[in-house]
Amino acid sequence: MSFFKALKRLFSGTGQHGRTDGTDASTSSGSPGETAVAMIPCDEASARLFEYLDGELEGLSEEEVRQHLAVCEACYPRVQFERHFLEALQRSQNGGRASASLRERVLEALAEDERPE
Amino acid sequence: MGEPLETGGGVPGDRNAQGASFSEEAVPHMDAVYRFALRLTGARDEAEDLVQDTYLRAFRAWEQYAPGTRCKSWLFTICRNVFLRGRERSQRHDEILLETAQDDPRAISREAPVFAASRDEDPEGEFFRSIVDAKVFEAIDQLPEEYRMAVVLSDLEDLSYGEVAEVLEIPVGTVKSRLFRGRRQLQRQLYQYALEMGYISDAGER
Ligand SMILES: [Zn+2]
Repeated sequence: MSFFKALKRLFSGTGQHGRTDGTDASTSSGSPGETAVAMIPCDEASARLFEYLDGELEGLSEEEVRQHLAVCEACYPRVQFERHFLEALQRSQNGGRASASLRERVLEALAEDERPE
Repeated sequence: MGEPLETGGGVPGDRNAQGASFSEEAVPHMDAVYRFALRLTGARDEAEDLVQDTYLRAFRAWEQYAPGTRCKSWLFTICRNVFLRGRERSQRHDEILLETAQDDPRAISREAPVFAASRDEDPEGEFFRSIVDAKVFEAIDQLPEEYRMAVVLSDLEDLSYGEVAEVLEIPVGTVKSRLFRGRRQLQRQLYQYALEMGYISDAGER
């Protein structure tokens, strides 16, 4: 539902103005402008949230999921939540470095390994 | 057989028949291999031994390295094999995971208990930003090994689902479900820690 709202806002510019084309939105099942993007429900989109954030979204309705997660207000906190979580993991990656002594030891072992018997 | 000996990087045998140089392609990934080894073993000394064994084995197998595969993934695969073999020898067994290939990662992804718990106070998970790296590592180290490997390769070392699948020798679907389960478990622990540190308060208690 929120997704519809978000889309409506997107298409109508500011979201402040009602539609002015004379159609009654409450009785019609969607105007031509809104059906330009296929709708999928929030839970279907958020079920693929990790794939979206991992850059691994593919297959069925890939584009719809992408667009949904990019504009849906209801899904937004959840997107941010998982994003912040993954960022915390990514950030910790900088923590580990092979020490100089390890590097030296490994290179020595390699040279040793090559030495003919 | 009278082949000209390539001596790139000062190490004889550095370049394989395909022309790939070990010192140029494999050695630069030592930090990443060390980090992976550290998360596998949980101890610095063991990790360093594992790195050395990995590089020795990789060097001896360098002829089998096919250019085009990502060298980092190739090294992780060797590292994991050396680690698992060493553990078999020492007869230690990790917890056995109850999981099936039929696990639907989307169903797992749909559940987000920590998101639900912190929703009122911190809906966008800002608390994750306050958590120090040491605590992240501590939480990762407590994951069951199979989840831990998937999370480290994907989320810390930035491998794709396909690359993780290759390193762990499992289907992509299993990568997804291990990844998602591992992440949920991590979130629970980091959330617990955030509560203890007062980065967030327990909405359920109020
Ligand atoms: Zn939504």
